[in-house]
Amino acid sequence: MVRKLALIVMLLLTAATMERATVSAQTQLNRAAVVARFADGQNLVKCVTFPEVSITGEELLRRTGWSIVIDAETDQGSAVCKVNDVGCGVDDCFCRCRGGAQCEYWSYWHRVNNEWEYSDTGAGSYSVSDGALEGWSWGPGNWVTGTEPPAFTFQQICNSNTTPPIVRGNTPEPETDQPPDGDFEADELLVEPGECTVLTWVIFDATSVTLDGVQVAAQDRREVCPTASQRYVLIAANAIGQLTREVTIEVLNGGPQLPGQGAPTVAPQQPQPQPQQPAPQQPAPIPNPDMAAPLSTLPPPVEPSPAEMSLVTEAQPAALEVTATPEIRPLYTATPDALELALTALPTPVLIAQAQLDARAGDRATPTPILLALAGDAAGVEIASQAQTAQALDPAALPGYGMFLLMAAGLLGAAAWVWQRSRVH
Amino acid sequence: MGLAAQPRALNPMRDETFHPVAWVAWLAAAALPPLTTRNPLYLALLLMVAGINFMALGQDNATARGWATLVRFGALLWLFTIPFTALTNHHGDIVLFALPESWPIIGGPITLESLLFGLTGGLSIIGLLLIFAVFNLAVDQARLLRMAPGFVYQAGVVTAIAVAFVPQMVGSWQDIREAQQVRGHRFRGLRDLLPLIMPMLVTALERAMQLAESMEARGYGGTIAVVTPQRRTLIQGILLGGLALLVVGLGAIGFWPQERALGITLSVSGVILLGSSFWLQGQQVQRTTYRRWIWGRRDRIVLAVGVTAAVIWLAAWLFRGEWLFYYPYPPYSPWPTFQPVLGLAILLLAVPAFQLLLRHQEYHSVDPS
Repeated sequence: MVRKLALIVMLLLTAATMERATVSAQTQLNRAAVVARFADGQNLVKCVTFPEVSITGEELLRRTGWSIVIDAETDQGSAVCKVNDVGCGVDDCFCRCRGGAQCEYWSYWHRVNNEWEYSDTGAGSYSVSDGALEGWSWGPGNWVTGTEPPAFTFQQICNSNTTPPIVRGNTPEPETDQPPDGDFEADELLVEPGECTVLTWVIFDATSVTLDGVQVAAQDRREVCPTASQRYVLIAANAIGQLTREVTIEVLNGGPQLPGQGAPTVAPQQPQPQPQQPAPQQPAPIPNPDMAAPLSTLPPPVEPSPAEMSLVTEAQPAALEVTATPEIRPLYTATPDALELALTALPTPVLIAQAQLDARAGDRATPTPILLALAGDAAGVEIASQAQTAQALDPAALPGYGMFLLMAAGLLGAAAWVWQRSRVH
Repeated sequence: MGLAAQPRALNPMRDETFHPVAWVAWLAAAALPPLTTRNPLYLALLLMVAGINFMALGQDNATARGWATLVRFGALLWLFTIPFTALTNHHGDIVLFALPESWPIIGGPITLESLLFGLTGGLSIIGLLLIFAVFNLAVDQARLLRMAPGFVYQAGVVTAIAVAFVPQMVGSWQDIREAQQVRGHRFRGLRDLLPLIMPMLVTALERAMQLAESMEARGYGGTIAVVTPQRRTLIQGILLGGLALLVVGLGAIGFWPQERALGITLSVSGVILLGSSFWLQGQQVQRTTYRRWIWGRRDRIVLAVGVTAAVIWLAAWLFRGEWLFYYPYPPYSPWPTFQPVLGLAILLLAVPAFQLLLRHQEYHSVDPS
């Protein structure tokens, strides 16, 4: 027994010293690229450098600096629940998988031979070494596959300091032969003035989803606090057809119903009126990256109500407006199939652009958002600051702890009394 | 005078504690916290409460010792899993120390968070074990079986026989082995099993005959109403329809989440049909109770305490989910919260222990025998 133990200890020591040797031999920094694809087809990319020979896929994702929520202990090991506020909470990591036909979660992919390969191991046990490209994708899937991330290459993401890369907005559209389907509902249909309620929607198979003309994610929730009765229109579209769902929130003692009147939290984000025009024939604007919501995309064809239209026209003239910061000069290379974007200027490597695929074909309007984010070592897309952990003791919890100690002491006293009594009988 | 004069149909003080229904309410209230939270503060209180009840039952028989051993074994497993979780799970920000990365599985940072997670996971399991130990010691199985509803009377009878049969078999096995050893029988191989098994089969058969005769003599089966074929078909049809509706309704909820109202309607009507079928079946069985349990004051107190604690906890679970949420890993805090209301709900569950002891005291002061 002792001999066996000694043998094990020696083996471990050998392994440890060997590891040290390899670490000291390793002088250069390794790099790996990460792609995260969101529900609406937008992507975040990041090049991560690390000094180790290899790190786990999970560690790589953490080092991107994105806000990550991981359930450390599921039945299958650790699972990624949320990336940058998209996904589920840690208490129910697979909250969109409820036994139905559609199940949405963060699936994990490796780029092997220019193909995305669904990972058959968890991110916590997969080791990533230099030159790897890893993909994370939120979208419909099941236990053996998920929604593929877009086709990037390692060089596109990590070699941005050599040449400005030309990245095609390669968003795989869900292959379907059905119009979009889904749910749109509100927690409360009847509210007091000033009271808020939450709109929730889940849409499947859509290429674009808009809420009152504003592009939104395929599944999301939004708090609204209408001052007067308000109708919210959710329109989802794909190549086959269109789905329109409405929710009307009645405000008690409020004014008459005014469709399209400003809902404070659903601010129209550069909506564009396109009356009687299913396919917008104008190039897409490029929103200023300084805007509060960097992930803006083009509103799809919507037929706004008159009130909405007037509001919109006021907000922005129906003219093409390309807003570009001095640092970024977009070059358009319009091809019939795709719009390619090239960046000539760094070092503010954040550009969010939208383009309309097939803009000339009037019958098929499939707005495809392209999110292009060039991430060098110095700058990257840091949308959400990493959630700071409250690891220090919150002083507000102290009275609770006092009560707990009091109760525990009382129970100990009671236990002593019961012990004495039960010994007597 | 005193207790002896009351028309209490039953009471061997030592064996019977409280009404089984009261204990079921206690069990439900006590099992809720370990099933719904990982918060170590509530679980620690619950463990102490269950321990107090266990002591107050004060039983010193084979069952009690068996449960005590099981709980001790569970605690040992728990102590083993804490370092296991801490060594294999390297998440978390508060690093206690780090093992070399090259060591398989255990290599990497050892964090306080994973230590806490292992601690809380085991706590709820130990709590459940202890609660069920208390329940099993406090309630007689035969009494629980008597509460089985009418439509499952056949299953109830089978379970009752099985529950009585296994201990008898074990006892007779030991008797036979002793008797054969006295006769010089030594166990050397499989062939030597025969002189043990044959007498056991014979005794088992004899016991079965005896049981059947005694059931017959007590009028078992005589009170089941004669069922006409039409009525039987009706009951079976309702049962089948209810099950089909339930399956379709649950499937609809799962696969067409947008048609939620339809799914819920189907499921609910399925459940109603099933219930009416069971009720019709139960109508055929008329049972008389030989020994009635009279609800005493203390039985009612235990019932009230259980129901109150369960309601408080359920309300917190449904409407204040964040009170029960505890997850030590980032981005959440490793510090658990504590709500005095929930602590009081757990403290209430200690009441049966005091009621038991007080009743013992009362019994001994009235009847000094």
